[in-house]
Amino acid sequence: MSIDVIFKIAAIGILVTVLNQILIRSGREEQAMMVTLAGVVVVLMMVITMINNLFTAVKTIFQLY
Amino acid sequence: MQFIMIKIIGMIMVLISSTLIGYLKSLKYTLRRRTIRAILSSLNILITEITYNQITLSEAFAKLSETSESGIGKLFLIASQILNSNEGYTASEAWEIALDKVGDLNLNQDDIRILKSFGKGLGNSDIYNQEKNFKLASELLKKQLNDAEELSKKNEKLYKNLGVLVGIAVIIIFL
Repeated sequence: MSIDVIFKIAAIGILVTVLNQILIRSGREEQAMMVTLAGVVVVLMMVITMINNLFTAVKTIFQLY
Repeated sequence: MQFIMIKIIGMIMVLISSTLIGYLKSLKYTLRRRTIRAILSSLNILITEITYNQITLSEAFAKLSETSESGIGKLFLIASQILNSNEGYTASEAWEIALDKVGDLNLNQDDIRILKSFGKGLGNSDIYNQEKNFKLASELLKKQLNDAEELSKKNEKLYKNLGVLVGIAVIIIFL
C-alpha cells in the first residue's frame, strides 16, 4: 500500500475536472459527461484492486472464512 | 536509477506525441480559415485584372499563381497550364479540372462547391456578368469565412489543450 496510489487518484481527479470544464465550455457536453464517467470508472478499478487486497489480508489474518 | 531514466524518457515521448497529435488536429481549422481568406483575396485580384486590365484568363491565372499563398497558387498554376496546353478547354472546364487535380486544399465540401459554381460562370459571358458571378461567389465565401472563423475559434484551442491533457492522463494512468 504505497502512497503513490493516492497521488495517482488525486491527479486523475484534477485532470478529469479540468477536461470536464474545457469540454463543457466549448459546448460538447456529452463528451464531458463521458470523460467524467471514464474517470470514475478508472479510479474505481484502482480502488477495487486495493479493496480486494484488504479483504484477502483480513481473511488471512483472522482465518474467518 | 536506470528504471527511472527510462520511465522519464517514455513519459516525455508520450507527452510530445500527444501534444503533436492535438496540434495537428487543430491545424485543420487554422488552415481552412487561412485558405478561405487567401481565395477571397486572390479572386478579388482576378476580377480586378479581368475588369480593368482586359488580359486573358490564362495570363491572369499565371499571374495569380505567383502572388497567391501556398495551396491556392497551385490551383491557379494548374488552371493556367491547362489553358496554355491548347487542348481546346474552355476556361470553366479548365477551372473545374484544376479543382479536381489540385489534391488537398484544406477546404470544406461547401467551399469547393462554391468554387465549382464560380467556375461554371467563368468566361461564359460578358464583363458585367463576370462581375456579378464573382460578387456572388465572394459573398458566399465571406459567409464561409465567418463560419470557419467561428469554428476555428472554438476548436483550435480545444484540440491543442485536449492533446496535452490526454497525454498527461495517459502518463498518470499507465506510468
